[in-house]
Amino acid sequence: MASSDWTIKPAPSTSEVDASLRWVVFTLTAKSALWLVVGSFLTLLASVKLHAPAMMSTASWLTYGRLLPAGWSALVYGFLGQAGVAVGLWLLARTCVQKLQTPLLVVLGGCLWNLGVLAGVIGILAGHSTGREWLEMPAGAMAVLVLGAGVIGTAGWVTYSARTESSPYPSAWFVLLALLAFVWFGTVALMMLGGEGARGVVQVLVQRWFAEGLLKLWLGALGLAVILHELPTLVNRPLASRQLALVGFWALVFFAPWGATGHGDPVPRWLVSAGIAGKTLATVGVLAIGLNLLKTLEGAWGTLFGTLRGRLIGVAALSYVGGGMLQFLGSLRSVSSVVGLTWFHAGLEWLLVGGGVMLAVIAVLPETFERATGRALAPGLISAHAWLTMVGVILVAIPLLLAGVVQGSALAKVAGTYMESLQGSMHFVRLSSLGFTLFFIGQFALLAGVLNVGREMLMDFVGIAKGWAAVPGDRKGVGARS
Amino acid sequence: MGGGSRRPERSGGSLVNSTPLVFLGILLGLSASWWGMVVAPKWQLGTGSTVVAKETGQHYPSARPGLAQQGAQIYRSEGCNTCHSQVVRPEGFGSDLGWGWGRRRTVAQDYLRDQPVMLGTVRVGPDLSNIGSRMGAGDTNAQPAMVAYHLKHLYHPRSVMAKSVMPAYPYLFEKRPVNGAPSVDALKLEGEFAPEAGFEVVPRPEATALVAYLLSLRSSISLPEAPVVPPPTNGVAVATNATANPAR
Repeated sequence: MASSDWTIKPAPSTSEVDASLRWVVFTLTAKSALWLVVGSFLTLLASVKLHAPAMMSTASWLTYGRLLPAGWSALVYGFLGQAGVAVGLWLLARTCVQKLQTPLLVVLGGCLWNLGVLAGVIGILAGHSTGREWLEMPAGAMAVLVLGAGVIGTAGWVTYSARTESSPYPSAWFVLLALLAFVWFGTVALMMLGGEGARGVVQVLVQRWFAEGLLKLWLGALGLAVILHELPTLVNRPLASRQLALVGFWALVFFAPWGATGHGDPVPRWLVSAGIAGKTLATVGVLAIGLNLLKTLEGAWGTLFGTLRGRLIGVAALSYVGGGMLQFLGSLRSVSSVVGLTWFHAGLEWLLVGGGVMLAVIAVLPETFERATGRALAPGLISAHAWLTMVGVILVAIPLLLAGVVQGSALAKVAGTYMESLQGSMHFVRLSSLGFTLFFIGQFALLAGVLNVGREMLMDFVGIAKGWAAVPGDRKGVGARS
Repeated sequence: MGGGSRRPERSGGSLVNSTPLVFLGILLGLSASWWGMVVAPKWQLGTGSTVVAKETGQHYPSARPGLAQQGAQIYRSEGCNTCHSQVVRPEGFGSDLGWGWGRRRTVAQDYLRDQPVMLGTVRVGPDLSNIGSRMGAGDTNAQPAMVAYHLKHLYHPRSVMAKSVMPAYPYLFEKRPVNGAPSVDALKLEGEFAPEAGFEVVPRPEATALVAYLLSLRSSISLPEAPVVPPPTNGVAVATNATANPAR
């Protein structure tokens, strides 16, 4: 591909690029903030019910088994699926030096997406969960999500295709991957799990392949797109190696979803071996990313952690790389025999999704919002949101990981009753409830900020409309043409 | 910020310069794991059929009774798999066998007829792969006691286990005034869990179906790929012992 192909296209200015995302970023962020409040409330309720299981037990929709998947779905699909994509599209447009193409498609896709999440969360609470982790939303709701993702993804890919920058920054690859990955994993999972598509444990393999794919190549890719973009910017250095980023990218694309099986699973041995090999090779990708960030950051840790935004990105990067390493360790026979099927699994998901992705997204969301809409979120609210979310996520993930180790160690010894063996780990689970509480409180700050900007935009709109209405009729046409 | 203006190096990105190539490359990568983790296992396992178990001479796994199949959907609907696993790991992985959760590890054959298969990921509660054979296996006289135990447990877990963190499911039951003679289905509740005088608690069809499903969970028939290990002699592993505690 000749480089001259790229130079003949006029590159839009940065402000033009930002302006092309105005409604996309505003609508996606506003709706995502609402889901964040809903999701954090449902997960907090679920967490509290572990300590007070008899509380609110008369309503079926308030049972733990419905609250937790509904809350998780609201956070993952409702919040990250929109805020992450809004930030991702902004990074894509910026790195491709091109205005977002067909923004209306994104707004339309966003509406579909919200319909899907709404139907899905209500469906789970109403007892229509599919019983498959990460895929709990009823198939119809998931199909609407896939359609919405396809519509949004098309706009992203068209923007990439129309780029004026021949070799976009690596973040662009990760955004493109995320946009394609959701459609791919969602479509295949829906097709294979519908009707009699998969029997027996093949259903589990499809579900876990889907979950691994979404965790690493949808959410993980969005998180990495932000981290790879932000971390060098914050320390004012170029990324150490584009090649290393490329190694990480392709290693993750090819190997990450293989990690669907592990030791002790009721599947043929070759599948266990393939799963562990996949996890190992995907770890090469995580290490390549980690090494790249480490080299970029050499001697500049203080600079990074000197700002709130830097702290968020720093903790996100540590969570991503640390979570990747822990996942690899957890796949080893000696470790998985202890932590398998314990709280460790939940802690790891919170570390990777809450820490690695959510913190990265909320670090850059205020700037994305301000650049695209031309209005800043109140600094106090940004700060409160960032701190409460960061401390909350850490206080959820770390105690759950520790609870897993304590629980696994206790279960390895057969003594007393099962409940007695669980008691030790419950102290850590209680601590995680504190994290859920902070996390929940923090989300009101973001919602308040976004709603405030929405109110301002509405007032402006009303002001413009009133001004236009006040102009004498014979001058309106002149004004419109000039 | 200006991400577009910051490029660390110009080299190393030739493949990612062409939109179709990037698209196909990513799709190829995503397809690789699909072939390996989904399509190939479907070829191997998707055509599996029941086998004749030597112990019983019957096909395994047999279809669950209709009521139990309805109960499986209640199990799914209530999200029981959020806290309970249905997988017994082999010897050397924790103490699944030691806790008496099964006489052997579970294998793919055990899940052949399940739709959906709900293996679970976190054991907040104990494994349920063989909850149907924890008490009184083979003892038909024990069946009513097992049903009564599970119903009571579902109505209010703390009524049978003081420190349980399991949610109560009172909405699967009906509290109603005693009309004449008490119902034979009424739960025998005591102390703080008993209804007010003149009232009784009877299971709704959903609770009855859920218990039928739980009692149908038995994955301990010896299979060639998972032979039953002889029970240890220290008296700990008691999966099929008539006195075993289902709470384990």
